[in-house]
Amino acid sequence: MENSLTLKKSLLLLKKGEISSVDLVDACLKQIEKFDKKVNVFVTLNKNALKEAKGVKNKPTKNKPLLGIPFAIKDNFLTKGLRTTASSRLLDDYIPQYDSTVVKKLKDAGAIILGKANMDAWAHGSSTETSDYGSTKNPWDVTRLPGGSSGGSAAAVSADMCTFAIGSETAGSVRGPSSWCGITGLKPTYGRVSRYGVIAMGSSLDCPGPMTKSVEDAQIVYKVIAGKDPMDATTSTKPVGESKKASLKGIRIAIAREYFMKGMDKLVVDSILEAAKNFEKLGAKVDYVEIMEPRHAVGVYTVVQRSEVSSNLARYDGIRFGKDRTHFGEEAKRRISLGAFTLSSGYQDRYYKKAQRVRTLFIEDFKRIFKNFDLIIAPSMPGTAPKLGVTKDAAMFGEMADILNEPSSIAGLPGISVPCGFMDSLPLGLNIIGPQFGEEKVLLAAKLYQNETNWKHVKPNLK
Amino acid sequence: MTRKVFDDKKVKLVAKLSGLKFSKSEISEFKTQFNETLQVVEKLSKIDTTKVKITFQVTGLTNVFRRDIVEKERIFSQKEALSNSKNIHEGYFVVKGVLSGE
Repeated sequence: MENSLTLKKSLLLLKKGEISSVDLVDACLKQIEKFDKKVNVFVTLNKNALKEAKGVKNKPTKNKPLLGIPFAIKDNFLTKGLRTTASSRLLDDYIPQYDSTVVKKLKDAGAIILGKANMDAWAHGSSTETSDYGSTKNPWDVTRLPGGSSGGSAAAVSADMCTFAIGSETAGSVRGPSSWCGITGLKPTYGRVSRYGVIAMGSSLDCPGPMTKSVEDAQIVYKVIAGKDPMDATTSTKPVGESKKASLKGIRIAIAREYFMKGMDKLVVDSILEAAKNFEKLGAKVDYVEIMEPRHAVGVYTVVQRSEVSSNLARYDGIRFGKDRTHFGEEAKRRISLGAFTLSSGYQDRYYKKAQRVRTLFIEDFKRIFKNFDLIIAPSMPGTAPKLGVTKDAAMFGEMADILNEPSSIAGLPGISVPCGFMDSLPLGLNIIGPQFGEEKVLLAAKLYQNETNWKHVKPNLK
Repeated sequence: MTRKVFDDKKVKLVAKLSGLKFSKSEISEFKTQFNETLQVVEKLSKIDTTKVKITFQVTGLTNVFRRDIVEKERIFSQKEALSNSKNIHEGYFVVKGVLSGE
């Protein structure tokens, strides 16, 4: 069916006139109808999707590179006229009056929104279990978590409910669910993709990113959404590039023993060492390097993120939109109030400023490594998707699950998770991290690795 | 690190600072969880940062300016601006009183 095609293949067939946008949208909607009760991806569907597809009269072009392509978007991206909740009841009836920049760019490119994908409420979590609309389930095993916070987006891609999806990452929210759902997820450099119109969580960390069926697909979407946006002052004017090289000759790749953590299954480590061999075959040079202990990043991330959450979520007063503050769920309450504490006078130096200083040490440590290396590889997550319900009574579940993504996130680095094997029939992810604005090399290495292996072709068997 | 930073009083204080209300069971639950979280965070104190500069902007940007001009395409009409509010009076948002008493 057309819904299982990659973006690249869909575009090719659209250009040849062998399929239409209606075929794509219709196939996705049928898949949603068949499986969404089980997987729980969509908080809100775009009722006009099929009508929009019927209105597509042309083939994709340079100016409309995604014309007629259906996608799912995480529910923290504002969509004009389409309900946006961030999976929180506080925003249950919020209809945005404008589009986020990412949505505007995708609409301008001709893409069609299928619906808003479930997430951890306010993106606070790594499971989607904190969603006020119920947890999304992992398509590989519906008794397991999809990961989060972009869990709905990851499950939508994995279950072929869309051609591609958009997620956002603060520290692990794209790469984590991509790993657990067996898809490709790119977290760009901080400031590479505009945050305008994205419901803010940690403003110094948040990064929108593509979640796709292949690295080539991620590259196509990335090119559409990346770039300077006057509405987000932190976006960069650096040009957005693409590498078309066919080998990794001259590329130096680092592996860090510190990222093979105690208690990690040997199969997880082996999958990365196996990937290292693939990279060597492709011409890269792989060496071990010493790296800053990732456990320190948990402390830094916890303080910085909660402090920024407390500041960002102060705006929800129920006056101009949404409901009042009694509608916050437990996780949001926890994060807002602990953040208010770490920013409060008397404790700010001890917690917030201390964390921002250790953050500098992480940035400097990565800079030191990238003097001698082009990329770092590691597991995306310490293991495979756990069972539903494990986050209950675990106040630090997300922070611990995302331990391998927190160091690069707090340093603003780009990273991609690509499928790299299975453990007990559940997908594993390879994390490829580059220096700031090093997306070209990250995507090139990921693409060549993916073309060398067969993992992306294995799909979940939803019934 | 056995000293507990949070007691009931401090949990109630941060709730007040955050404009939130916690139930009795939440106060006791959060107290335990906050102390656990701070134990993880306190491990940072072992790292010497006396000579380390603080990071505020991760890609090194400073002072990003824009021209002070009105961007008409970004302006909501009054109708649009009020469209999500539940409490409107003659074209205005209704807010809660801040001052009380005489």
